[in-house]
Amino acid sequence: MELEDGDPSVQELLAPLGERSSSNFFRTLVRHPRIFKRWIPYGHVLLKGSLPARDRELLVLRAAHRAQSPYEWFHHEPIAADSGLSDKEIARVRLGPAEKGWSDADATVLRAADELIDTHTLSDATWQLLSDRYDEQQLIEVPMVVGLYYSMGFALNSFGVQPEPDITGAGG
Amino acid sequence: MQAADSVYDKPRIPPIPATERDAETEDLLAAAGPFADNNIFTTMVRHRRLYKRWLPYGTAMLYAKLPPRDRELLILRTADRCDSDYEWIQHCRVAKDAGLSEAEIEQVRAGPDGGHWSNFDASLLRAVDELIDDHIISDATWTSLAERYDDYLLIEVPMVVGHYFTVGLTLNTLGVQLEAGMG
Repeated sequence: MELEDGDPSVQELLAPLGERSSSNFFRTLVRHPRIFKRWIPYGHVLLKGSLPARDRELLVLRAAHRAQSPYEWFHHEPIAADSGLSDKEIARVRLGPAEKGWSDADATVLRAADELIDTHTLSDATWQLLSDRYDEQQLIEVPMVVGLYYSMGFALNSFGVQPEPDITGAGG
Repeated sequence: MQAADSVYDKPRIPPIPATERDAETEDLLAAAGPFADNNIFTTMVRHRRLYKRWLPYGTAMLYAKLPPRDRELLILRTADRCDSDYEWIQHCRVAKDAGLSEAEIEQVRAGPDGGHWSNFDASLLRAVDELIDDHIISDATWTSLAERYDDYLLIEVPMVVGHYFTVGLTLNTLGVQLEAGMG
């Protein structure tokens, strides 16, 4: 399901996104203008929320991996790199929190994503560790970010959104 | 470590008490209309910047173009699958208003193959299970939904499930408690 027509109202909705308007995800979602209009600011506030960018990208990449969404993964690789994750660390996200090499803090963030996906909540131990570092707003963002990106992954998969031509990579 | 269900006993982040609400908080809560006093909103409003964008999106999901009965089947199955008692109990009421009988609501917990569902109802419930278990709606289920839904409604299916999935995780994690008299 992708945008095929040159509907002017659709072009109007996409225009403010600038370069990002070529995203096949946005070009699919814009078929439903009411959802699109409200999704963009909501997604943006979580992408530019209170969490440290590096922690947020650990959550997003782990959610993308767990949702088996190559589209989401490849879009977030450059954002993760800009947020301070090395190529090696980005690749290691796929191996999970127990893999050697993570700091305790990073492992806790990755474990939070896995717990949310597997148990639909956070254990007391993980909540306590996150509470030692995060304020209330950041704590609220943790399940929201994981939920949003995990579920965006399954929406992308279901719509069959294809990667844009300039994005290359192998597997999700 | 306490038992896994300890989060349901008390909030990890409590709702903002009436005495601590300033004018802006009151305005933000008022935007939730008749639900302004619900613990989900009085908790989430602690993050104003997020709340301001989350509420309109959630409202668009609740008032999606999907037939209300279909939407509530998706939401209840999602609430059940992500173990959110809060979401389940709040939506039992909405589901009844949308035309689901008490027997049907209870049958949602048995899943697409566990009750006396029409083929289409079963496809809706199956879509939720596939999204959560397989991260994609299968071709068979998509085709079944597409017999009745246009692209516009098909877009709503994973978006509604995703939103209520996200809300369920957040309610569980923050330990949002049911309001007195509910459940």
